[in-house]
Amino acid sequence: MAVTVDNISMRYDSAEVFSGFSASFRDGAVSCLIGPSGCGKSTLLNILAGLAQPSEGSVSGLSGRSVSYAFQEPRLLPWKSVAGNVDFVLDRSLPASERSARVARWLDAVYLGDAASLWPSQLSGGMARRASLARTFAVEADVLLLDEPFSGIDMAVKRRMMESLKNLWTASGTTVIMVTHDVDEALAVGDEVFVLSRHPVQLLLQKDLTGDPTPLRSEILALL
Amino acid sequence: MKSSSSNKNITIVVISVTVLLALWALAAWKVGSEHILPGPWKTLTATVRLLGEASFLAVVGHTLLRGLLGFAIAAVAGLSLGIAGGLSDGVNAFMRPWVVIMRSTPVVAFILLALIWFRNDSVPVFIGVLTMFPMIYINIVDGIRSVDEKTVEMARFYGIPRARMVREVYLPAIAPFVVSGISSAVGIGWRAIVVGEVLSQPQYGIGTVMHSAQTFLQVDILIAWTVVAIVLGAIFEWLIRLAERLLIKWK
Repeated sequence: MAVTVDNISMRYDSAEVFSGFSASFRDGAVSCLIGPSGCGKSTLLNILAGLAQPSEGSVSGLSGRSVSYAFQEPRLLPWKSVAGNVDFVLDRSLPASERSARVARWLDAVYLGDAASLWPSQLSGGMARRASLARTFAVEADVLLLDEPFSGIDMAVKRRMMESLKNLWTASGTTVIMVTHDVDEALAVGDEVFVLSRHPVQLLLQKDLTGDPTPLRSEILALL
Repeated sequence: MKSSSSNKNITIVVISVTVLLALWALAAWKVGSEHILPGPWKTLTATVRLLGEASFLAVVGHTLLRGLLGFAIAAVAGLSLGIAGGLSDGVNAFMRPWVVIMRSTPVVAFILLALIWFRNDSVPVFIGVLTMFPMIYINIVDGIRSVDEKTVEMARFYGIPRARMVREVYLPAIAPFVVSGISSAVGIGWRAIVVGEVLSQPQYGIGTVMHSAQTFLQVDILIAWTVVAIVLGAIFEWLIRLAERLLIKWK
């Protein structure tokens, strides 16, 4: 069952962020939402996460499924090591050995295997971002909500991460809803792109990513 | 780099203390009377003599006990009301005037009133509570307010149960504030307790013996007890810093 927002409306202060907005994100696919900063992409993720309530409309397709969220900021606990931060969100009913194996596996996946015992205050911005991604992934949820997951990460690391994550997500059939302002990120990891405008948010374009992305890239850039 | 700069600082501290002692010795020599200003050596021998006296432990012990009791009361009240005030604006608004009054009233005004109201023994404890409570209260309130809402939202999103929220999110967040509150409270409270003893004259107490030394013009004894009070205050400060290093490793 696809994750769907149906006819949602929401105001933030005096601005109308959503007015009868609808969208449906395919199951087991990576959906990338592109749009200008401050258009309401993060708010949409908050609505999907249940952290913000639309005044009208509904969300469906998430009940009974586990959801993990990479917030716009890393939100690490300064008093826990990198590994401790990843472990923090893991279900305590898992055996300790399983938890530490997961922490190690996902820290490796974001190239932070060597940084497990560091404090967050010792990390660069990009490393803190990757630590927070390891936390998000370690839950091994059915649905991932990712808010600008690759921003601030070094180009070389980012490219390797995007490639390996894309493979992992495809293999596990994870549903990923990812917000970005970077067209090339969306084209690199997305199965489907959604181009949004602001005030109120409108869906300008929704396209499957198959074949040569070059014409689509120009089409998206022309819309932004 | 770090160790060479700390070596340099130690050298500076040694020079600073030497200059202080030299100025003291010079002043004592200039005054020329041990009854008005004894020199450092004379004071040192008086301090050593104090340590050997039978009543030394009783005097220090009573003052320490008063300090500990006052601190315990201030800490329990400051911690519980501080948590309430940090979580509720109403409680904090209610507490604000009390705290402002406690902080702005001259300590001696409280002592004079306490002398009328309480037994001599309890006056220094009362004074200790009044000076330490507001420091602890204010720091706890600030600590709770400093807890990052977005981090709390993240933890809630992942369904972290309440007990773990308190243990792993709230307590570590307020720990640095608790330590700094306790550190400033103890610094001020310790001195206030000694002043309280000077004026209330309990049977045993550092303030009591300082007062009688002053009455009998035993200036060397008076300064010797001052040295004892300074050393004890420095030990408290060191213990607090030690606890801070053990509790707060992430900074």
